[in-house]
Amino acid sequence: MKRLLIIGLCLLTLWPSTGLSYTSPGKPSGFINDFAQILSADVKTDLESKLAAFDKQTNHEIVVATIKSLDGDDIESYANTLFREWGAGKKSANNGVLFLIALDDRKMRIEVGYGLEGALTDIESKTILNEYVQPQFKNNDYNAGIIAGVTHIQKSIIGEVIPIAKQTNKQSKIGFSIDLALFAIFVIVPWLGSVLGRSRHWWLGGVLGGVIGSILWFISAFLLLIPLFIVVGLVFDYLVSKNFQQDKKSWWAGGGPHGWDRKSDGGSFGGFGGFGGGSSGGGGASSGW
Amino acid sequence: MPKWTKWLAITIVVVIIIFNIGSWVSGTYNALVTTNELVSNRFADIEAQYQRRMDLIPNIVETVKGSAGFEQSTLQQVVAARSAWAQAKSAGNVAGQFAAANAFDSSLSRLLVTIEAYPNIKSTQAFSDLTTALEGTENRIAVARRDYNEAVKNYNLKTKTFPSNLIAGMYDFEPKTFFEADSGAKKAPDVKFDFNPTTSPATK
Repeated sequence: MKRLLIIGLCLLTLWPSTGLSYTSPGKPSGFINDFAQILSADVKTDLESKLAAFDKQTNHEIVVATIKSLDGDDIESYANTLFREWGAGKKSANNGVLFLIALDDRKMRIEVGYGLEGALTDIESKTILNEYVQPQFKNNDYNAGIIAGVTHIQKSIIGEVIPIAKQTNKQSKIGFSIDLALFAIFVIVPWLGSVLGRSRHWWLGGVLGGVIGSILWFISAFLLLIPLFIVVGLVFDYLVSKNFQQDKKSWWAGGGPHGWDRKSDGGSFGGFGGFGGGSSGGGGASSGW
Repeated sequence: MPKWTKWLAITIVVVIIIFNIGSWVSGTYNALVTTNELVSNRFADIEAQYQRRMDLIPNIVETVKGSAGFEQSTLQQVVAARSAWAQAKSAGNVAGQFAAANAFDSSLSRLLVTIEAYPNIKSTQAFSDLTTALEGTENRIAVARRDYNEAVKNYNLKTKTFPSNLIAGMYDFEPKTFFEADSGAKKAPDVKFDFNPTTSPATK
């Protein structure tokens, strides 16, 4: 055990230090994420709707993030980590662009997803930053600088057409799995309960739990599921078997309609749903002001 | 309860245990193969990015060629590191490739600092585009390197930790080496300007 610990520690220290200083600014709230609060409200809403429309039109996701400080990280690795964390661009096409501004460090970067590296080259990114953004930033006009940056990024990639695999609607997918979970809880469980409750002994629940646990383990590769489900099965069978003796009409009966009400709570998701899960290999350019 | 149900229960439990062990072995083996394959892919990414970086060398030569009195030794070091990489690559020597890559990076950054002292080269559009292209490859290499090291870390953890190390030992999955950056790679390169002071300002 001690040896394993030492090996683990060695592996940790071998890990390049660049990743350690990164602290996530948080979840994206939309295409414009003004953590440093340098944009005016008007510009924010205007750019947000522009970029949402651009996403609808071209499928490319341009994300703007302003942060206070890099906390000692360099802007290249920060931008790449943030890009991957948020997943700008569609997963199948990696067609995202992240425009990152670190206010206190006076550094900025355009990080380009794999799929757009041809349309928005490093040299073009550098030109956008140095020719259009930098002069505005030097005058402390962050609104104008970010608008100019976004506009020129759009210009570069608008002609790039990337075949996108049909996106499955995220919301309906989650709704589907909620339906499935509810089905399991309110249909299968009572049914199993009535089957298992018919007998006095409760080992069958443990065996069944083991089988379910094995199947789930096979799917999810999470070994602990097996003992967990054995215990759950045993307890469950014990309870229903005991209950069956006391009361012919079981406690779960009539619980259905109440449960179905909760579907509307679980199924509704408000706000921004996140990006498409694209990735970047470090394309783009950095600059300062 | 009747006697046969007890035996049925025991049989089911034994079957489950055997089934679990069997699928654990195959699952672990497959995970080792997958992570190993990922390491190879990530290494190929690094190679591709270095190729891209080294393909820029002729452009550098082209850029500095026109400047009279350019100090050639740094340029020669870059070219030497490039051929060392190509040699190690054809020999399939991963450690040698990593060493050559680090030598290449440090000699290249030294070369770029040298060029800084030549305003007639530095001010050209060609050189500024070249710098951007080099920065781009440098960053892509950094990302590819991080991804590679992460893949190696995942793979090595599987080969070294219990219980998957048992399977790794049975099928000869050896731990792989990390691609560590040169300790001085992030530091500003040390450059001695030993050329004729009349051709360039010594203030840099």
